[in-house]
Amino acid sequence: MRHASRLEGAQLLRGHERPTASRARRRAVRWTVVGFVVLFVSVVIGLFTGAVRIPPSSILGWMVGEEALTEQQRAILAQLRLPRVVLAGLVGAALSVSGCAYQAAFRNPLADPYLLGSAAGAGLGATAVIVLGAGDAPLALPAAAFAGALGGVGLAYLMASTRAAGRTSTSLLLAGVAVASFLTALQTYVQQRDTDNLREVYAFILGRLGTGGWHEVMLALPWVVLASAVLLASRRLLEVLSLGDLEAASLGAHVARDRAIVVIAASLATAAAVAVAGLIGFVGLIVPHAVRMATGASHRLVVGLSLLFGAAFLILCDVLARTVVAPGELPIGVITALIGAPFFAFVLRRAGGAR
Amino acid sequence: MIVARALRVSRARREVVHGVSLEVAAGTWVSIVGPNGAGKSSMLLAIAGLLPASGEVTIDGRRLRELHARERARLVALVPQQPVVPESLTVAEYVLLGRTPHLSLFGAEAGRDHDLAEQTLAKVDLVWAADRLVTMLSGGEFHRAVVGRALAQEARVLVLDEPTTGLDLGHQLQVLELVEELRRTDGITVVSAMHDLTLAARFSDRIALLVDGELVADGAPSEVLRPDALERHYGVPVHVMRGPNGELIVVPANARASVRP
Repeated sequence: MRHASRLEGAQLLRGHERPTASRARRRAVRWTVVGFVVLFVSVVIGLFTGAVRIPPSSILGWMVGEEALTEQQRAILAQLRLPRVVLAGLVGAALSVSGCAYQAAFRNPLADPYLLGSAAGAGLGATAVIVLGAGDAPLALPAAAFAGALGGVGLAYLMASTRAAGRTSTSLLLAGVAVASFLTALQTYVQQRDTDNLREVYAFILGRLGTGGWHEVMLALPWVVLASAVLLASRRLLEVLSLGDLEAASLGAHVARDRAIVVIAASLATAAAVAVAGLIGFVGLIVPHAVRMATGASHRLVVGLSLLFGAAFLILCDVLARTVVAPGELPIGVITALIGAPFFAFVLRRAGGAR
Repeated sequence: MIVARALRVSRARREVVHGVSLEVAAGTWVSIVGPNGAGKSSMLLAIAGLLPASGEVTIDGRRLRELHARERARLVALVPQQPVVPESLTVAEYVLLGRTPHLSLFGAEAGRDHDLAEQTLAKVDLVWAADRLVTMLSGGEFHRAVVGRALAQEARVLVLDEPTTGLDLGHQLQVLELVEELRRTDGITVVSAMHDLTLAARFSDRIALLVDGELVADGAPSEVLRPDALERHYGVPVHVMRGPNGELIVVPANARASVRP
């Protein structure tokens, strides 16, 4: 047995057929291509959906630079639908990739920006800035949302890591729920105290994808790109962290620092998403899990695919939100919660069964 | 060569190892044995630089405490008592994680790392499982994968924390024989915490008996594993016998037979 496999190992070496690289790489390429195709189709569907009918063929023509549209159609696409689709994609990508990162960093399959309190913290930070009338100051909104997101997740983590709580995944989640409720209550308080800005705050909390334009896209884009770049670079790190503190340390990881890098980047992505789109739950839970189940891949691949499929997922959710009660519109958080809550139950069952 | 001097280790604010010194010559296998709660794991993790401890640990003359985590992980590798079984990782990817100490923070594995991981897979007899998920392996196979990951670190010292926990007799032997073979061929130094005294005697050059955080005996297996000492420290009468090939066998004595009328 031993001799046989040694021989096989030697042959593998000679044939440059790397079991540690080739198969995984092929799978990565295949799924990345699928991800881009799905994202592209979602974008086209997102652009096609709306009160004014614009045929998909004209949209595709417009995308490749043909003069296929009327002036009015072009205005609708360029100023209304495209920024909305791009914003939905950006927010979906940010929430999914941060969910994926939180799950690995906290070794908790149920971690999600919404459930950990980081989204609620970002909401509180953003509300405070709006109420203080500093909402128009450059960087004030994202900075406050970022501080709130980090504060929320930090609080949940501290609460869960006391010795009495036992540092289990359940305690982190319970702490997250408590922190999220607390921060949401604070946020409601801050918003109700100051009725002048109530409308703006409400619009913010229910999600602003509907009113979002290029301004919101430009507000979120740099932070989502930065955070995603850090998380993509940390793919291997996420695998190491998912082995637990002791084993990660035995492999030479600087566990506290490495986890902080991941959590800060994930919170930055969450904050950027919340700052432009309000509170949208469950995306960070659904997408990474669905990707993992579909591909069977490790964190390394799931990080990148979460960006692609997360963007596509939220674009499609937004399409549903726009069409289900047309000409009215559902808040997008309603759609994600309707899909997400049953999915949460499903993941909970699986996670429980694995233990 | 490992030198641990006056190691004191506290866990949950209670000191569990009280100033133990231990030397392990290069290329030898030393086992730490002792009753439950004696501080074996704490001692072991302190030797691996993974638990804060007062005193000093040097490996090949280098003070562990002064090393960066990555440098330390290139010197000493751990096979933990109950390794985490990661979801969605293939065996090859799992072993490849052993290259972590040789990579920068955001670095990716190069060709050499993949080559090494492959050679390691062959050493632990898991080339056939390279593309399987770690979760699909049997207990014994997974333990071999963990040993493989530790080997991929290319550390000169391998620290095993009760490496046979949860394995049946055949798989226990398989894992220990694998480590023994690697020690002989690659000249690595092995320190292990062991529960099974017979297996400890069979594989170790030296045995250190740790009781209540103190080293009470340290020497060749036949010197340390004496019935009177074991009875005193484990609280049960034991027989220490010789097997057909002269190997030491430690078994609990029949309690009734040992009770005098």
